[in-house]
Amino acid sequence: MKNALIAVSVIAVLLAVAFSYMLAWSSNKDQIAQLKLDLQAAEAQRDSIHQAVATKDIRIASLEGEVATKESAAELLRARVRQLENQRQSQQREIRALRTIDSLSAKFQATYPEVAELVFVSEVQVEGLGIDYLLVPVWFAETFFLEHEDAQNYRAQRNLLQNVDGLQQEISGLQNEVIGLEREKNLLFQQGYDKAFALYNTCNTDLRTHLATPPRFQLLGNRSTALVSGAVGIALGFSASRLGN
Amino acid sequence: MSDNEKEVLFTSNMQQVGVMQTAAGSMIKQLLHELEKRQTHIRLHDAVSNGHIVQYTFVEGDADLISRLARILAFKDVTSTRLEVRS
Repeated sequence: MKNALIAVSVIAVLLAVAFSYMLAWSSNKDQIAQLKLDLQAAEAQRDSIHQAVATKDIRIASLEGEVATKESAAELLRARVRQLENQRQSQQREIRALRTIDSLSAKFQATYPEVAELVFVSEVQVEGLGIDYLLVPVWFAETFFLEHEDAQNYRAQRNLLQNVDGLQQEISGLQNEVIGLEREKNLLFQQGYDKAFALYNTCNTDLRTHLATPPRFQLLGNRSTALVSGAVGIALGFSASRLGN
Repeated sequence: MSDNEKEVLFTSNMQQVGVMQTAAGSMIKQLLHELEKRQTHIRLHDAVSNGHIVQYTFVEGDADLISRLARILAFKDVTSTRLEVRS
């Protein structure tokens, strides 16, 4: 009777161990499958991000081309403005170089053909000295006032527009700096993401490899456990023998 | 002064006139013209940029004409070395 009980107990223990083993093995297979799915999803996400980044890089390159074209056009316009300023200064020098009254009258007539037939030079006596005067119809003087006002206003407009252009160039420089920093930041993110993905890939693979390895029993794997187990066994055996007596 | 010297002086003076405020420069040119009509010449120098003042040195002719004509042309001030146009 005693032997039969021992046999039944041993068989029950073996069955329990086998069942636990099978259950653990089955659970590992499920985890391996889930890990594979997780890795596939992560790979798909990574590929999708790379695709989106590539698309935006193409768009950025296209916009940069447009910016370069417009910057060239703006630089040409600035060169044209400088050319016009040089032309203005040259024309002023030419006017100051007029040497005779005849050349002065001719210039006046060419500049204001509206009064070309009405302008003449006359010597007016002032304090006993003859002073040369250019005579024009009296209300024609308004022309000088209006053109003077125009010149002052246009000069102010030019100065403000030059300031605006300077500010725009400054803004453009700062924007380029921001874009450069954004690029560096994106590169750092990309490198970080790639590293994290590679690490995740390694961890996922290692874990699957680990889970794919069948569980092992180590009856005497740990010395202290073996000593404790041995002591408990001896105590149980001693107690059983006393109960049997 | 030879004609060539007069042309050189004129060119030099016009460089000074060109530095000045536009209307003030024109009045200085009128003075130079009236002086030249009377065989009198001055050399301008140290014009104030975009200003109404210029220094001068007498070259030849009748020196008294300088202040007399400057007053007729309603200059603000005239000395033996300096011309100031009203502003």
